[in-house]
This record gives sequence, C-alpha cells and structure tokens, in this order.
Amino acid sequence: MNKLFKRFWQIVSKPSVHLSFGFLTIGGFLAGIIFWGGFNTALEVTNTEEFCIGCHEMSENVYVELQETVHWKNSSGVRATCPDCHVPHNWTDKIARKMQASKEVWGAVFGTIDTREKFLDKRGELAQHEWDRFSANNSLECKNCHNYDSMDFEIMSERAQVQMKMAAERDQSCVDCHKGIAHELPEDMESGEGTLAKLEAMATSGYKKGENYYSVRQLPLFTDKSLATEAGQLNAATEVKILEVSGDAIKVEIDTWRKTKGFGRVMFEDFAMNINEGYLTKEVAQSDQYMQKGETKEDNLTGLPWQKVSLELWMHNKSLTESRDTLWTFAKTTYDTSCSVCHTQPAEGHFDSNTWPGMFNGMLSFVNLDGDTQALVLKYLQKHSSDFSDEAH
Amino acid sequence: MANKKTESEQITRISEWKTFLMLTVLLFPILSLFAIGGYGFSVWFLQMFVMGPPGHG
Repeated sequence: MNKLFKRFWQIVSKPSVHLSFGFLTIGGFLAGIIFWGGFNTALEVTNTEEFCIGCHEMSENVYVELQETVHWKNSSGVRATCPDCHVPHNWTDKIARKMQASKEVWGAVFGTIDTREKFLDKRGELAQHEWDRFSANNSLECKNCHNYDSMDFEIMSERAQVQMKMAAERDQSCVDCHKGIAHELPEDMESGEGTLAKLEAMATSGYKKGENYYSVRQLPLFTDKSLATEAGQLNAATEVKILEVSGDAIKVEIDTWRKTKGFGRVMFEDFAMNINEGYLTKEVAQSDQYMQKGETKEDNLTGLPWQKVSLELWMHNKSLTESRDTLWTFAKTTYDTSCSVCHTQPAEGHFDSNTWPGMFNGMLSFVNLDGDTQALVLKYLQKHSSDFSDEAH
Repeated sequence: MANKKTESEQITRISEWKTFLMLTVLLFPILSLFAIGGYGFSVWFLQMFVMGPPGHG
C-alpha cells in the first residue's frame, strides 16, 4: 500500500513525461465542468417532489394533507411543491439544509416516524423546526411567491384587510399567523403533554363541605348522585360551593344568573355580565327541582330580564381548585404567547367583559387553542376587563 | 542506483494516464464532495449552536 502511494506521489509531483501540458489543462478543465454539472443535476434531483415523496413517511402524511389545501389546487393553477417552501434557495443555506437531511436519512433508516401514530406524536416537534426557520427568515420561502406590495387589499374581506395591512407595514413573517396553511396542525399545539393534563395538575383534592372551589376546566354536571343523568356543563374557572361529598361524587351549589328569555340554559357569573358559567340541559333549565329562583332584574342596555338562580347539582369529585390565581397565571401566559403571535394583544382592561367574547372569538381562528383553554382564557380576560380593573380606558 | 533508474523508467504512458484519470474522475470529485459536505455540515452546526436558523436580508 505504502509503495503504491509512493509511486503515485512520484508521478503526481513531477512534470508529466508523456501527457502534454495542454491535454492536462483541458482534461482537468473539462472534468471540472462535468463534475459541477453532475453535482448540480444531482442536487436538483434531490430538490424535486418525486424525491421528497420517495419515502412513505412523506408521501403518506404531509403530501396527502397538502392535497387538501390551496397550495395544491386553486383558481390560478399555480401550485407549490415540497422544496418551494421547505428548501432554502440561497446556496449556502441550501447545502446546509441538504446536510441537515442526514438526520432525515437516519430517521428513515431507523423508522423514527414510520407509522402514522409515530408521525403524529412527533409532528409538534417537527413543525416547530419549520416554524422556527420561517420565523428566522421572515417566511422567505412564502415571499418568493407572495409579496405584500402586490397584494390588492381592496378585494380582501374587511377583516383580512385590517390584519394584512398591519402585517405589510411591518413586513411580518407570514407563518406568524398562517400556521397550518399547507399541512394539518399538531393536535396539541400548546404543549407536548397536553393542556388537559396541565389544567388537571392545578386541581386540588380533599374538598371540604361548605367551602368554595373553582373548576380547572369545563366539567360535566349531573342531576343525581350516581352521575348518570347529565344536567349540563360547568365552565372553566367557575365557583362552586360543596354541599355534600359522597365518594366519587360531590353535590355543589352554583350561584348564578341567567337570562329568562328562551329556555334560560346559559349561566352567567353576574347580573348583566356575559361571563359564562356553563350551561344546563333544557330539562334542568326548565325544572324547578334543582334550583331556587332569586330576584329578577332587567338590564337597561339590552332590555333583557335577568334572574338570579341557585342550583344544586352533582359532579365528579375532582378537577376543582381552591383559588383561581394559578388558573389566571396559566391563562395569562397562554394569552400572551398565543395572541402576541399576530400583533400586540390588547391589554386585558382595554375592553369590558361584554365586549371581550366578540373580540376573542374574532381572533380564535388564528390560534389553535383547545376548548378548555379557550374557555379559561376568555374568562380570564373578562375577569380582568375594564369592569374589574381600576385602570381607566 | 540501479533501483532509481528503474523507478523513473517505470513512469510509462499507461501509468500517467491511470494517474490522470484517477485524479480527475475519482480523487478530486470525492474531495470536492467532502469539501462541500463539510461546508454544509459546518454551516448547519453553526446554525444549531451559534447563529440560529438562517435569517433574512
């Protein structure tokens, strides 16, 4: 071996005896051209959709999902392929991304996401990588096609106009708001382990008779001790008073207000304030068996009659907490992180408790919060709205 | 002495061709790929640990 190297070096280090100077130069030059051409061709091959969906992990998950979206089929007949969005176009970044793909090769070899279940479990993490990338490059790959300057705000819906104009002013990153535009969103975006578990973790146990507690999330209500017949649903962060503890069931008193127009199924925390405390089934709402009716007042603003009622219903002996403070902390963090993604979120005290639901619902379509978190955050906003805050607005 | 003479005599037309092809077809392309790959990896590692994902502008 050593001898072979020695001989090789001997030939390489000396002027050639038989091959002409011109031949060597042209030969090297041509070989260089052929190499670079071949290299680029190979690089381009790895930059095609056929190559991307060569793995079943891609073709059976993200590729199928793409086909449901506007980036697959639309009125203008232009579509985006995988590399359009997922491979940087700048050469250095592209090469770095290609080397990064060694991780994908590893994943393919060892079957990291070779089943739908494994893929779904990992989707949150994988999506976060792409979101981080888009956030760092200001959604460059989107902007290769979409351009704020070429947007005709006039033909957008009014709501879109407001948001898009604000975004255009700041040259905002598209994916800040448009997550899940080409693939399904991770099932539980808030956290890997699930918000439900987080909320449940705030619950205390060993509830005492006569004490007041707050629900950590939306909870089912029942008419009887055996928890067989459903009576409705208690909203998150709603106050209940324990009347009786009986094994897995507890009897609670809910002091609440309702509008007497219609069936009066929805419960509210206070007179003339649309702070939801849950709802009752039609049967329970119309029966006198479970409630004591109190005073009735008319709300001058809406002309609707409100009635104070005190309900006695059963629920599971769990998912309650002594104070709303931990719930509010969680709600505030969620509000701050989820809502500041698109814009500076309005201060809690900026609206009153009856304005917040409309504002909140208007923004919900831009974030992905599960039902429990939505209910909790809305209640947090309402309870910290101008109705309860000293800061004047 | 005699050894030296034979070594230089051994540089034949064939062996120069072999060396030339070996360099242009094998060695340099492989080295280039290593260099590009190494460059890509180093940028990737830098992105991971130092500079974060590629930015804009």
